[in-house]
Amino acid sequence: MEKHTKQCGRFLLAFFLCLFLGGCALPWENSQEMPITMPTDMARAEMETPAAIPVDVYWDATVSMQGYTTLAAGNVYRTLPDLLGDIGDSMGNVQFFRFGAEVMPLGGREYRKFSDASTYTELITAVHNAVDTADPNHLSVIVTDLFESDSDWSNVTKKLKDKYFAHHLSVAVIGIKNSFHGDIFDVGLNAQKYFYNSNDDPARFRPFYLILMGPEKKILEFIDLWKERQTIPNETQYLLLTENLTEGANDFTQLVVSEGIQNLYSNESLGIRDKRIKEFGINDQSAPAVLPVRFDYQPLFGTCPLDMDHLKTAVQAFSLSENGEWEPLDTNDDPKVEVSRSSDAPDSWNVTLTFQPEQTIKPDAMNFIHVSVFPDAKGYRLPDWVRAWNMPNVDVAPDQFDGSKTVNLLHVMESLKSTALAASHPALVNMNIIIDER
Amino acid sequence: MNRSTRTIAQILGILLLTAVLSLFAYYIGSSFGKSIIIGTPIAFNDWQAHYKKLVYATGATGGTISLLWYLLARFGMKVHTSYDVGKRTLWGSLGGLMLIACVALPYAFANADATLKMGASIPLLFVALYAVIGYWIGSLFMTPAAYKYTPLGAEKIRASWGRK
Amino acid sequence: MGYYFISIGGSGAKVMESLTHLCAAGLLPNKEKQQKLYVMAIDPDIGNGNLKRSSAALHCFTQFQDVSIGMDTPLFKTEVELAKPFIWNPAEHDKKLDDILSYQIYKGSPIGNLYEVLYTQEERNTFLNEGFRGRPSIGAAVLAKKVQLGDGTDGLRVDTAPWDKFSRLVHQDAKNGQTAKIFLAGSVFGGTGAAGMPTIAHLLRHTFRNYYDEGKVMIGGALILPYFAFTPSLSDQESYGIFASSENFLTNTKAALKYYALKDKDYHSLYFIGDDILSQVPNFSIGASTQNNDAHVVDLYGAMAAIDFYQSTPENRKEYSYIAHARENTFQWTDFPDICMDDQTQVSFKDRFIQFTRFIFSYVHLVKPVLGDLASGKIPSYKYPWFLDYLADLNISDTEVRNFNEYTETFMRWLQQIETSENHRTLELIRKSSFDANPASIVPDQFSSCAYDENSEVTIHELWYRLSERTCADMENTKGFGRFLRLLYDCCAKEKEDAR
Repeated sequence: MEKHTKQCGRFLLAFFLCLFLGGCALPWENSQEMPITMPTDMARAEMETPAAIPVDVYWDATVSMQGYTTLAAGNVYRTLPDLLGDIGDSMGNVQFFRFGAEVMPLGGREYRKFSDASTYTELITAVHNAVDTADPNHLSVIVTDLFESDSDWSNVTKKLKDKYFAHHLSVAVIGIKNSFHGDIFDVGLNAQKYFYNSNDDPARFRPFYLILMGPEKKILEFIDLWKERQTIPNETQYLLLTENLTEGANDFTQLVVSEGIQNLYSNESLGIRDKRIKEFGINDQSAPAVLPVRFDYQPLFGTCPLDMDHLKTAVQAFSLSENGEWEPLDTNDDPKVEVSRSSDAPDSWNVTLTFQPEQTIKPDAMNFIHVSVFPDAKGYRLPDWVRAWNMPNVDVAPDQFDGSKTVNLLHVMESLKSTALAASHPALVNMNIIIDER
Repeated sequence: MNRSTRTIAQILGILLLTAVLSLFAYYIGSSFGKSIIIGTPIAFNDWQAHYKKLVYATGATGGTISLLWYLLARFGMKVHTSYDVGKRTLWGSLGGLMLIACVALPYAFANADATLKMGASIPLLFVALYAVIGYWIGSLFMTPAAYKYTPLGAEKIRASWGRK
Repeated sequence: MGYYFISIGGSGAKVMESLTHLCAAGLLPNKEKQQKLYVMAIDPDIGNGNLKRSSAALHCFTQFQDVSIGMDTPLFKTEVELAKPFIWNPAEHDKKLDDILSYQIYKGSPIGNLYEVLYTQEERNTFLNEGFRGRPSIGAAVLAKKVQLGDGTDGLRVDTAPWDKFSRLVHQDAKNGQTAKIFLAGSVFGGTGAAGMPTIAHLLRHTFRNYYDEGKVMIGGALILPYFAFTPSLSDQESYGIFASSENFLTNTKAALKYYALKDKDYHSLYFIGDDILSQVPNFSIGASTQNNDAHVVDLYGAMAAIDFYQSTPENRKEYSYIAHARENTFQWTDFPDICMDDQTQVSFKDRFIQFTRFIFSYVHLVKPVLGDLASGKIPSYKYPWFLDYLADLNISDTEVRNFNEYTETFMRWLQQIETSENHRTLELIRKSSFDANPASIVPDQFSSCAYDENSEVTIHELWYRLSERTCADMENTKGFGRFLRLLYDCCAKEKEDAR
């Protein structure tokens, strides 16, 4: 009996030992949290932005701005200090500056004097200095009539490019038509001075501009607050120059993988925190991989309208090197991207990526594929209001001077747009794919 | 090796074989799973986590059935006359049960668990591993001596090793 | 050669039967295959039922004893050679005493007249086909006539079979330095045995007197005393003429014993075996096939006596041997002595006998019922691992197989008869309830406890398991049917697998 008990005991011990060994063999943890980040070139603005952001308002205090404060009717400009202070406080804290040739901070409630014509005493307009001074981590607002001394807007756009567009930050222009009664300086090739009185005629109102610089989301938030709190119905136009061209992100946080996917399966084993990146696995190395996605094109407020017949696509592949850097791969022009309008809905579009794993990605390595669909220069157009508000920089007779337009507006905006196109690479779709072949 | 030692060794062998086959089922099945989930929103690692539970359940079932045959043959069935021997029907019945389990369990799990999308390859894999290799071939090598020729094909296999 | 056994008459034949089974079980003292047992029978009643039954077992044994059973096993270790002819009939067929002694020649002469005085008319005119009818005087005269007694030669007629070969073998033993141990068994109260026991012993001594004096020939004898009785009906008495009468057994015995005590100088060792409680023979018979008395424990003791004689030497022989049993009406294992082998090792009679019994039981229960169907393919062989492992090429009609099958039946019958007693004697060796004969069968649940005073774990299931998992101990020297029998025998050993 005792022997049987011992045998039973040995048996049970062996049984549980085997279960334990078997259990150990099977992996318990399925996902490995990995701090995957996009290749530097591909990195887009961080999805998360701070809830509060400091707002800096740089006010053009030159004499040419006086005319906006003069008339009472249709005058948004006079309410601007309080309005900007209010909006700035809502978004974080607000700091005002005046600039002419130099930028000077204003303390307390001195900014309220911008409603008063006597404040405007500066003689030289150096918007480029304001841009220089602006902190890219803040939302910066430049209040200006878009006049730059020496017409050196290329300097301004270059600074905007280096400081903002190149760092996934955005620039927006809000144009507001306002009553004006005063002198307009440096008009034409001979830099003449004109007196202009819009009276109370909104058709004759002269535009001033708010140049917003900072994170796209914060710019949009500002615009929302502006629209919400703007009570005087002056004509207002918007232009947003940013990476995104659609409402909502145009990456995998919003893109929908449609039917027809081949040879790719969804995976989350790497535990990638950045939701703009999606992990896939390749089922068969020798078979083509097809990834179709669908998106609805809803233009982001204020962005340049697109000609959808002038879209370009680009595919870049990278592999992660041993030192943690993404190294570009030579894909031999294998990956193909097709863009087509979906038959389901007029604003629905299909983007299909096709590639041969053997040619596009590196075996035994972690791979990153970036697909973008973006407009070319022809397809990325300025909104019509820019032309409507533009006055060419030519000499005109005083009676033909139209103060309701801005000299060289088109030139300035085209310059900004081109800079944004070149530096921000605004895209309709950004697909970021990780394929771990290790 | 005396009989007790051989018994323990064979029981351990059955358990070890089941554990090893479960490992194979897990890894091979996972590779099948990659093609199964293509076109679905199911992430592979999620599917794999649910699949692991299926492997555990099927492995436990397979191990239990194999062990049941062994324990019955070793301790449960007694020979009193020269006519109550053989028991191939019992062996076959347990094998049939194993086959059914290999097919039914994956679909039962798939029905109850939306993440565990199923294809025909998984039950076929289970049949090959648990029913064929685990039960049948396992019983060729790990059946108590009194019934050592009961599993189908045991005669030929043992004859090829020169019997004893 | 070494061992010689001569059965004389019906009682001798019954002792021979018991000796056959003990020999098959390996209970003779020889080391394997080093000694042979030469057996012959002397009986004028050739058709005697006892002789027929006992010689059946012996003949079966000689047919399968050469199976390749391997070395280092007691099973079938003693080779048996039968005399040719096996039965020596001193009286010719359909002859009377007058014919054998050629009375017609001596009629009217003084010898003839003496003859007429010594023998009744009935004795002289009775055909001797059924033996000497319980009259030792008839037997003595016939034997004396047939074997040159009293004509100056006083020896066996070694120019006739079977004595010619017998003599040759004894000479061979002597030349090889072996001692020829000749054992005779017969009753002292009947006819053939009473006549033959002293006569044949005397003849042997004279035939081999030189060797006898040198101690190279030893003669032993088991004198069976009365142990049974019978009562013929009136009609039997009228129809059969002269016949043995059990009322005279004790008287005859007394007279015979007196002779052996005072006159006999021929036997080296004598064993007296009988029973004070006489078994009642149910059916009276004067002889021939109807004289078929069941085996008795006296026969077993007679065979034990032969074994005791074979293990003795001229130096340690006992002239008269006694044995006792502990309880009055019961025979147990302790009442049977252990065997001293030639190499002086002691072998337990009980253990060896039980293992052999279990061997036969298991064959009868597990193998015999299915062997034919397995060999012909009627039963699927996968069910019987031992068949596939050892007997797949077996030819069921091989002499060895047929004879072994037959032998198992005879053994079971003999065992049942030994264990059954009608005179309140019980034999507590093998449980009667655990088996049956005619035909042979066992009770499977009692297999492990078939022997008295033995705790065995060897159940049928345990045996099946051992057969299926073990290999034969001596694969080199075994083959075929012999290999299987060797395995089966070894598996019937008492110790449990895990005890090793």
